[in-house]
Amino acid sequence: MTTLCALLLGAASFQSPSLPRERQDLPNGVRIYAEQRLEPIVSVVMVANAVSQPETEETRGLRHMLEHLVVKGQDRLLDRRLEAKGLTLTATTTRDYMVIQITGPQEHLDDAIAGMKEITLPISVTQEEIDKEAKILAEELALRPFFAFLFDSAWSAGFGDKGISAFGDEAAWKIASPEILKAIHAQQFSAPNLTVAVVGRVNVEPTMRKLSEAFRGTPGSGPRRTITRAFLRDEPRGEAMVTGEAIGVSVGGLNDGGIVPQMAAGFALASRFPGLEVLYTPSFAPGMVVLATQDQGVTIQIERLPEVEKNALFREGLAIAGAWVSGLQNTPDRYARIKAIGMAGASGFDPAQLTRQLSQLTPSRFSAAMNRFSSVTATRVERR
Amino acid sequence: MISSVLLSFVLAPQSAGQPRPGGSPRPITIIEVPEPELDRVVFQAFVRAPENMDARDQAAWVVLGNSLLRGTQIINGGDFMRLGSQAGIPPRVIVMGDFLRIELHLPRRGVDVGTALVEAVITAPSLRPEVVEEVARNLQRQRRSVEQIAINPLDLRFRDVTHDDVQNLYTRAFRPENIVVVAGGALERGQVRENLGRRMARWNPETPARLQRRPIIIRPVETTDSSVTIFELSGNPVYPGKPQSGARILALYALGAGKDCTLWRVFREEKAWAYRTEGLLWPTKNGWVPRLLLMRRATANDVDVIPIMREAILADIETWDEATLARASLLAQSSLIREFEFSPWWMSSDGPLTRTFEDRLAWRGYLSVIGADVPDERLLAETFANIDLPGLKEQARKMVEEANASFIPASPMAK
Repeated sequence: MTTLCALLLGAASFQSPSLPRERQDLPNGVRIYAEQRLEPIVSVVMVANAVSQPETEETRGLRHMLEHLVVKGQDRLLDRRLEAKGLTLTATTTRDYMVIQITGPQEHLDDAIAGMKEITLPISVTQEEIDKEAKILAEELALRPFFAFLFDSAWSAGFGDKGISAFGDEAAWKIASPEILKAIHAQQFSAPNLTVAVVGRVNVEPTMRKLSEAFRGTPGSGPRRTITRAFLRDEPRGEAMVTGEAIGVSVGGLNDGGIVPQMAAGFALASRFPGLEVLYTPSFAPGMVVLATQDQGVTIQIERLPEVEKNALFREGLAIAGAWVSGLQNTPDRYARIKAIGMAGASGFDPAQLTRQLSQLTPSRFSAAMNRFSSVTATRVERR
Repeated sequence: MISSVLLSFVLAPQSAGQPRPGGSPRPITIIEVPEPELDRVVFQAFVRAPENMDARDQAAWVVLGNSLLRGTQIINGGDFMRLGSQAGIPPRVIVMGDFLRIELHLPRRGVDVGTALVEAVITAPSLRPEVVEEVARNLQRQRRSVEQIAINPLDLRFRDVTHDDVQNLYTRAFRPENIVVVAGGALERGQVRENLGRRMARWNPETPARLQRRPIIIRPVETTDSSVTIFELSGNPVYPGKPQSGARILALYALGAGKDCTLWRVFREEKAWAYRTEGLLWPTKNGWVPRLLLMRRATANDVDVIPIMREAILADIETWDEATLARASLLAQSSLIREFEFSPWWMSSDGPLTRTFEDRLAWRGYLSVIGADVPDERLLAETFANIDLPGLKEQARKMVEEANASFIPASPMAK
């Protein structure tokens, strides 16, 4: 009986044993961090905070295009050089930040840091390269799943001008020029906007020294350029085939205690309503947990779901949220990513907070989160 | 109340199914991978699909997999999920064409509970008609993204699946000789073998007859329901450890894995045809099928794309040099021993295998299910040694020349 009780009460820990870690703010404003892990791998993450340069109708999608171009490196062969060492590079652009990650064998840490440094150097691209990349971006747009458009719609409806999607569209990418991208790059990768974290089988002290050497010379932000263009609101945005509906509930930044309960409630509803997607992008400014579906009438059914049925989903919600929290941290690269995003924009955030939120998730907190999806403050969108 | 119910469940070894008169039970395969410092016990239970499944069987196989966790004759669905989620990760079933995989995580000291859950779900799932119907209905309603269709291009008609189909398929597939259980993590060597072996010892189900029905031909989906067309070149399976398997695996890396592969360089960077290209190794009972995928907005000339694709790939192979071989070898080693974001090894429709402990156990299970001589992925990495550039190019050319070509067109509405 004792054994069973322990089993019922026990919970897996997602934290590695306490290993060396260090954080430092360089004089120019770049935040650097290193943490040792036991796995035979290293992951270097650079987060470029974009809160000081919010998306506008004029600039939407241009940072996304910049991301595509800048990760090619100065000679456009950065991927090739990294992969020759067994390293891989990935990048993502959101409303609040651009995140670039290089992961691979720990013996090639220097190459990974050099690759990151290269990305911060002033960009020089031709119009021909930009036009070609616009075609690739259009292919990416065509592959976007329905829920991404509903997610964007919910953010727009919930946050207005502060919720403009960073993805962009064909009309938006048309105005990109070498000068505009150079100006955006200078802002995006200026020292005060940068956070660089290294997690893996590394020695912390020499790693911090290498990071300091690489980024202490990164310049501050230059003069901001105003971007203007003819208004494009009525131009097609490549989303004509998307239909569906969504409910969004606003949550705070990453260190807000409400994220895990809200995700648990969303996951629980997704287990009850097949086809319902739960979407959340870690954010600095208030973000949103969005439930999106292509099935008509599901959001109404969610709102009308009896209290007792909602609360009965607690176990499912807790279990799936557990998997989600674990998945954010269970490998060095995933942990490095969420750690760096937190450092870049959520003061005092540590990934362990998410595990704590999970352990403190009670039926009453879950119930409160559930009810937020049907409250009058929730954002509702419908595309038919 | 619930504790006492669960306790009795855990302490009373169950043996579903009666011994066959005159027959002796055949043991299931159990593989143990102790890793004492891990904070959990992980089970990967594989079940081989029966031979010669037609389209109705294939759809029923997916319905069966998705119905398993909805309850057993020993423990109801809610308690199953509750017990199986104690390590913070819920149980799940991953259904592939030739096998399905039940994944369970338990906290430390969870071997007894884990083996009881594995026994219950394998030997006595309830498969109630209303559950099967609901699962089939939900699967039929599912709308898939282009990428999901590309990975799994079959048009399975879940609405045609009956409870009898699922029940019959269960009795044909869930038999001791078709089961491989890999258990790992916080356990002692011999613990699961003894515990689960004892529980399953008397399980010896009758050999069922196949339902007599008119077979249905398996068809690919007719359209992606989007503006994107999917193009695919699909090669012959690579059986781990067989001659040339190492060279063929490296050829797939050079052709389709990562950002400096042929597909990415030619079709994304040079032609700007695609955002998403994919080279993947898809698990079947015959080994890993190499698949080269290209997703591109529809044009008026879609029918011409496959020959152009094949020709452009073959031309690129001629430009490969020692750096190509070194890169492929390094990335393959990374995938199997460290971590590689663009790993081509898939064992679910959700994404490639990673280097998590769970996925490492899945590797062991799959290699055992197909009867490979190579017991784990680390040893598979050794088959990449001694491959030279001419050998790599020869296998790549062969793979592409012999590949089956197919494409799934965009929706006519989107053109």
